[in-house]
Amino acid sequence: MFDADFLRRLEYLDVVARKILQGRIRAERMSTKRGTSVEFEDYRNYAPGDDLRYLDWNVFGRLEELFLKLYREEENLHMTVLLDCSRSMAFGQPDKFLYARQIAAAIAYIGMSNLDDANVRAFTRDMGPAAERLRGKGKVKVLFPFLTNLTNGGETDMRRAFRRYVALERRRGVVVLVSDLYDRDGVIPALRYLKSRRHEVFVIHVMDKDEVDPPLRGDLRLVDSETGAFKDLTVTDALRARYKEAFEGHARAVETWCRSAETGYVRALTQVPFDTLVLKILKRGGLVA
Amino acid sequence: MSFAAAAGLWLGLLALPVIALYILKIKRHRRDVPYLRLWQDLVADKAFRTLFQRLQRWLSLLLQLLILACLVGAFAILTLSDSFLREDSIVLVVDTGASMNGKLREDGEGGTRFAAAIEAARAIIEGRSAKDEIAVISAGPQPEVLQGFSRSTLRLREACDALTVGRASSDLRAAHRLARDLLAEKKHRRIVLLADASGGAAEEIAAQDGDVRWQRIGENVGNVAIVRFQARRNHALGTDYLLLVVRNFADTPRQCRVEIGFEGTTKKVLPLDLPPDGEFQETIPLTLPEGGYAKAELVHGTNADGTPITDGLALDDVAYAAVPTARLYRVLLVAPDEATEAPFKAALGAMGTLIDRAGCQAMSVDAFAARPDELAEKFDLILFAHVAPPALPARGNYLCVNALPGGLPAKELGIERQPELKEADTDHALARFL
Repeated sequence: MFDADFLRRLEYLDVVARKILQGRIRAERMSTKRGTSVEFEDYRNYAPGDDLRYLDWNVFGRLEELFLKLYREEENLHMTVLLDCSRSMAFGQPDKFLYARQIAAAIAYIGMSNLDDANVRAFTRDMGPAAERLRGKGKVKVLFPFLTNLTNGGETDMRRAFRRYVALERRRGVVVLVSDLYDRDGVIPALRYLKSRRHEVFVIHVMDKDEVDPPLRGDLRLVDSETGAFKDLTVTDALRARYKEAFEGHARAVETWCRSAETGYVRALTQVPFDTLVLKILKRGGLVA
Repeated sequence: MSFAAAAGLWLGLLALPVIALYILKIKRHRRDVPYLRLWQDLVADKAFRTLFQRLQRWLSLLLQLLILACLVGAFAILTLSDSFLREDSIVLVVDTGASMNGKLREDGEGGTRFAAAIEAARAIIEGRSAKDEIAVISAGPQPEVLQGFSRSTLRLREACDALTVGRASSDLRAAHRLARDLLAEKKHRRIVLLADASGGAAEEIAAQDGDVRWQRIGENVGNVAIVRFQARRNHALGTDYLLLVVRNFADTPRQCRVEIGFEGTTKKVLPLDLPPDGEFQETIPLTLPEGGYAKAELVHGTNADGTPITDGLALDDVAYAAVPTARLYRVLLVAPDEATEAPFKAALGAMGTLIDRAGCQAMSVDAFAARPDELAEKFDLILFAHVAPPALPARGNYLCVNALPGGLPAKELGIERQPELKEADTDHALARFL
């Protein structure tokens, strides 16, 4: 899956990404936290216990009062890729799960090479295994085996999984959701929850062309790949047309919400090469800002 | 084609299991979908909204039935191809007996059996293969070949048009023998017997001869019939009487009445209550000294709801009986000599029940010519044997044998010197008195 050719494409992607994001993305980012750095931000009165190294003696000489100098703390971009590993991701040719892992690898790689902290976490009904704090290109030795060994199965419960994620990861950052967005309890409530925790969310909606326009016709027994539930149907052209409308409505509802919540959203058709998709995401912006 | 096609098309019954299996089980292919809910939401309230969508479900079944029909048709053609190519010789034996005057069905619909038989014969003629030849036999009391083997549809149609139904019972066995004789030299023989079930002869023939296909005409219809109505003489008592026999051929009891009349006037009414297959027999004394005819007419009653009772055959509801006169006839024999007189005297002497032997007389033609009017008044019949007077009186009854009196609008062409006597049907009601 992650062979030499894949790595070569990632390298190319990284070079292009640097050009696109130049001036807009940095390894060192201004944090809203105040701490130790070279960039002054404010003063405050001294309180017992404060580090005496940060006292402004010039101000003490003029005013004879102790003030503490405050600097903006610098921190790395904390980026997490949440990868949907439910059974529905096995659908498609090539299957969506493979495609989603390639996208996750590409995004994590770009993040790692820009000295950000990159994390990849699998989820289904709950949070699954994770590859954490990947920094530097050398970490591909951790990232690729991790993604290669991931398996898919089970149902999706985003809201429950995201609650778990928030509990596990207290740092705020960029969350890239790579999923087919099939959740019986709805996708938008889960995204709203994640957004409410002040995460920057970017949604990559993975879909296969056979989902968009299913090549089904005749008397069929349709079986849900996640739950095993089935429905006997006679699929006609008219029914297929209505399904396409329903699918488009489902995707558009998420997209509309994302736009209103200033959340990035992009459709990822498995037939489009992953590097083309990632470039499109980077050009559009919003993934990292 | 029409004979064997029906057998082939029995295969069409295979459509029944096809339909049953279709209803019981529609094989559905399994297809995995990532998110079934999208489909469930669609069909929850929108499934099969239009008539066309509903019909689409049956298109598959219709297609299967069409394929089956094609297979059955192909099989039928294969099995029948031999008969298509074969040159068959068919004899149509059409029952023209009295029973064919009967109704085709109990309710009276459909006309007579004979009309139905003609229609069936025409249908066979029209539907035959071009290579088949057909002969037509009228199966009456004496079977008759109306049309020998022919492939001309026109001639065969004309033969059907020439068929007439009689008033006597048919002899189907004789007709079958005649058909067999016609088919003696033929290779592919078939006999189609168009007859009703009357008497059971048709069924027996069909059971005995494999070449015979009995096409039954008409269903069983209840019938009450006058089976015998005769005037008879009791020689011991010297009186005449009528013998009446009525039989109920129906499966149910029948109530009816018989009206008996003489010379157009009803003299007696007999109410009858006949059980199934029951028979009524009655003798009725006669008082018709001058002779004449008696008529018996069967009048059917009505059902409980007032509707007339249906009788299968109207022909046997009326019967006539000739009643001989009670007086013996006196005959005057006029002959040239005794040798000529002798056979006539012997014949007259043998008719003891008709001829008053004592009142008969023989004389020469000259003696007759002397007083013709007086003799014509005295004798019931004057028989001229090999001699005749120059002219006949204006009155009287005359029988001339090898003699032609003058004054008649007739011309003598010659004399039969050796006349031949032929057997007559002496049992016939009228022939008995000739």
